Amino acid sequence: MATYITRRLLQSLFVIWGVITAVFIITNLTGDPVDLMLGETSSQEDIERLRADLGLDDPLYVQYFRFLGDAVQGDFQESLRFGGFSSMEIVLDRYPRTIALAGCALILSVVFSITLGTIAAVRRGGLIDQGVMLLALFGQAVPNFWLGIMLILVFAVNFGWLPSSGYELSWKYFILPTITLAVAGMARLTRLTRSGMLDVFSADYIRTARAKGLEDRSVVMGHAFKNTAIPLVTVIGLDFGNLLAGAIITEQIFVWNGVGQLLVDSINARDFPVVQAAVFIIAASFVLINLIVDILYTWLDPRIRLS
Amino acid sequence: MAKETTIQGSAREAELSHLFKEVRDRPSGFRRAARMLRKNRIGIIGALVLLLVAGAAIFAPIIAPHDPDAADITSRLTCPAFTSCPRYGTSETIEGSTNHLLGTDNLGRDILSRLIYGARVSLIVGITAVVLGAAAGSSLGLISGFYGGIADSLIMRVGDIFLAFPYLLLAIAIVAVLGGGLLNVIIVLAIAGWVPYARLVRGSILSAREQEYVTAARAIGVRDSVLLAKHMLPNVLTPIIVYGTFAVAATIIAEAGLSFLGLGVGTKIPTWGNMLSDGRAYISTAWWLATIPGLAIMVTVLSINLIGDWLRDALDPQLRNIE
Repeated sequence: MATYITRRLLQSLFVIWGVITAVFIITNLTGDPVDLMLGETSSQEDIERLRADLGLDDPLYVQYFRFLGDAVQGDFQESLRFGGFSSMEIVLDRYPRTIALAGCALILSVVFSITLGTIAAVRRGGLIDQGVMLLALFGQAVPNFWLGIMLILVFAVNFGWLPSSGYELSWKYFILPTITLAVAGMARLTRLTRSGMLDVFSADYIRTARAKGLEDRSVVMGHAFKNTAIPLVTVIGLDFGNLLAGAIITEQIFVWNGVGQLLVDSINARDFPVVQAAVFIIAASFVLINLIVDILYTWLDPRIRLS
Repeated sequence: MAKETTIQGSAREAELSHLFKEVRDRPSGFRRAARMLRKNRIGIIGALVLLLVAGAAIFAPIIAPHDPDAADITSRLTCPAFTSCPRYGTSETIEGSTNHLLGTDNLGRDILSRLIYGARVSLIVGITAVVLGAAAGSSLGLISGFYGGIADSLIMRVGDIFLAFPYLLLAIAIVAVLGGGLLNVIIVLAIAGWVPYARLVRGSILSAREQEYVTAARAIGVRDSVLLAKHMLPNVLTPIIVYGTFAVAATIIAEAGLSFLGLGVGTKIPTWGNMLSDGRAYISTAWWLATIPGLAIMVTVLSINLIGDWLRDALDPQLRNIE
């Protein structure tokens, strides 16, 4: 198990290096940052001085290693839009909002999908099963940006029950964005829970448990669920990364002011240092979460833990 | 003894002959799939809806009732036919007009016509990006699985880095570099989606590599390229087709998402994502602007997912659990 964890750690470090390199490539493909910083009216002298100050005269490999060193320390230069502020500071300032939204969506998604998926599997072929599967089918097809707008139309505009946008530490502000972000993952996880449960139900040990007269509840919760949960953990980990990315759109709809909205605003304003820092933070979080999930997976599954 | 051998021999012949007949009469993969489609009513509904959307996209200039870009400020924000809404800027209630079945937008452009033209963008981007991504990913997966070694490690590790970026984030990051536009969006979504195909094909090739028919083909001197293209690729096509179908649905949503964020094909071309984004500003006064394009996306994606479910069940029952 120790070897496995070490190998996964090394793999994650490699991927983080790859992410930083990809961000460096993005920087270099977007053109000369000096043009963006100084504008069209500046003199050639000013341009050359700033290029020298920023080290853009150096060979590409020197720039790359300097970028790598800075990135490891979380330094992605100053924002072009918010002069004087470090890009990473700006991103980290907005990050808790995004994590809070993604976290709430994950909890909602896991609780609902495991409950619905289990009920659907237990009542296979019945009305409840068909209803849940139909819901899941629609949940997977509905674009979250449309769902968000529809929820605003119904619950904010028509009924006036909930705020249409904005961020405040109140449950009212969390409800619509959380549902909007959670639905796609919820649908996927419900289908997975159901099919995982159905697979386990046909296993010999479940037949044995039933044959020795255990109640349905003990069979489902004590035996079937535990074995279904193991592969689900991996999917939930991957889903959290998707939620972070999905938050880009959800934050835009609800003016949430998190990293996602910052990223889109920065792309439109061509504030590339902030774009790099935001892309790095989201991708690095995704890698880190997957690492944690993989380690958790080995701990949950005795077959891996003991091997 | 000799008699016993003859009896055994004829029993074996009978068994072989029975097996041969069974194999000969067994329907091929696609015939079986077609037979299963006839049984699967939901699959038929999905296929019909997709045909309708594709037909609308192909014959858009013929069936669209108006020019999708023709603005008519006098009929701006007309509500859909058979509904009523307040006239823009006044409290007077007006009825929708059958001249604009799905109403008009803030510039007086016909929603139905824009919806029909928008189907073109969604389907072109969805299908082209998936085909390109699948072609690139499958080729890399073939090389990776067949040759192994450094090529395998390199391709798979680059794939790991791509997977570190959630799909939409990667697309947004590349659009930030390349800029929007139809071609760029297709390229971006193809680049963002190649890895699963590479992994899928690599896995299949790794197991196929050990099969006897590959050893036999190699022994008689079949070239690697022929072996890969003629013998091994057909064996991995089924999972690619099934995965690719679901990917078309995901790509249509991603394209609409990029357009919604203002990072898509641009505002000059009518797309469902653009229409939704424009409609957002009028959500309290003109519900149809955001509702209708969203419904179009959902119905199209739903129909493709239904076809994907059917294909998976018909072509490869083993994939049913990989959702």
